[in-house]
Amino acid sequence: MCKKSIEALLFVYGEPLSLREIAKMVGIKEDEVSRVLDELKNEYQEKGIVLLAHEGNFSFSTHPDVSGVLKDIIAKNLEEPLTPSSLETLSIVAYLGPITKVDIDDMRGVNSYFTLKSLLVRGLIHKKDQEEKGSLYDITFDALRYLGVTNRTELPSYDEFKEKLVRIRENFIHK
Amino acid sequence: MFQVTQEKFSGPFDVLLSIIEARKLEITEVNISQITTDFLAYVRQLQEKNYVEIGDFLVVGARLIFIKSREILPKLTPIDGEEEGNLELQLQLYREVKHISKLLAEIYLVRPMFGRGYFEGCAPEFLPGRNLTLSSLQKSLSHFFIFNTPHVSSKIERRIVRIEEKVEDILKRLESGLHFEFNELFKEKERIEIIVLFLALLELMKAGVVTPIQNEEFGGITVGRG
Repeated sequence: MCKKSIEALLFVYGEPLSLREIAKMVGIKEDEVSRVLDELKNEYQEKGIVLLAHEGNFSFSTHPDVSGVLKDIIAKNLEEPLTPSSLETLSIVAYLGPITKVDIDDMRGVNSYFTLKSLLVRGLIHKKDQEEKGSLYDITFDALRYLGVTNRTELPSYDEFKEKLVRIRENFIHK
Repeated sequence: MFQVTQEKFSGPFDVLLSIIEARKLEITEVNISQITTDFLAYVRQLQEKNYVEIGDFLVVGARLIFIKSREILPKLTPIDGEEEGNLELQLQLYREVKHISKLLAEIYLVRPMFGRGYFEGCAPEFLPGRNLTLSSLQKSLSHFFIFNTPHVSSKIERRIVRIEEKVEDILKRLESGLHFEFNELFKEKERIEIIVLFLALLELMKAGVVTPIQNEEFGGITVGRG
């Protein structure tokens, strides 16, 4: 029964819901919600709808396989292509987020202030303010949707990229 | 010499990487210092359109010069408190970033997924109103049948409105005053009557009996004696 309720909630809300919100609304524990969501995710794999998971938030979305049908209807609103700077910054945020501006600047060798601003305005990334350290940037649900992945780990060469970064850094320490 | 292409670089690291790759070099500190001249040549031809961008290039240029001078003067160390940063490490990391940004570009908007929010405003809102019930539908449907049965419509009589009648009406109005608002004659009149009234006015106008005055398009008509 609670699986049906969770499914219905996600359908009605449309917007991403967090584990905590779902648990509160359905009246069960968060780890139970998490288990049900895993089940739902598997059940939806062959449907026109998929379950998106990002940083503990969940949302239904159309399956990337059916984007062809929907693109024409909706694509009018999809904006211009991204500049090389925007793409680069978005990649860093997508693969390594949540990440601070200082770390992004360091990897790109430039001040990313304007690029981050433009990505924020386009709704591709969002900013979370922290009390002590600088703000953290992360990719949004919408951006994941544009990329057609239900989870950041599905990004191309995700594990490979992360391993490489670790390896490069280690090599350096050994030198 | 590195050929400056029309390609849009995302920043100084992008330019450095392009030079190194064009020369098929490994990313090492020694190699980086070797391409200082090429890099500075690139910076020199940059148009000063964007000072923020130029600034970033100058910072990297300065770091290159520092690395190069350290080769010549090995004892040179950074001034206290100044973090040198490691260009070699940064460039190696940047090369990976550059790689994934290409991968990302390949999938961006190719097979997008859509949430329900994308359809907001596309469909008309559903506002049925509180009185939409089965019985209210049934009731209005029965009304429809009553009003559309043939014997009802056959009872409707056709009224004949004569233009002469209306001419009289207008003239009578003019007897009581110098002029009047034509619209006043329309009050609680059927459409056919209004049409005939208007025709009567045109007739009187043609005969020069009355003078209508209309100050603006679609405005009210004042009728006075001719």
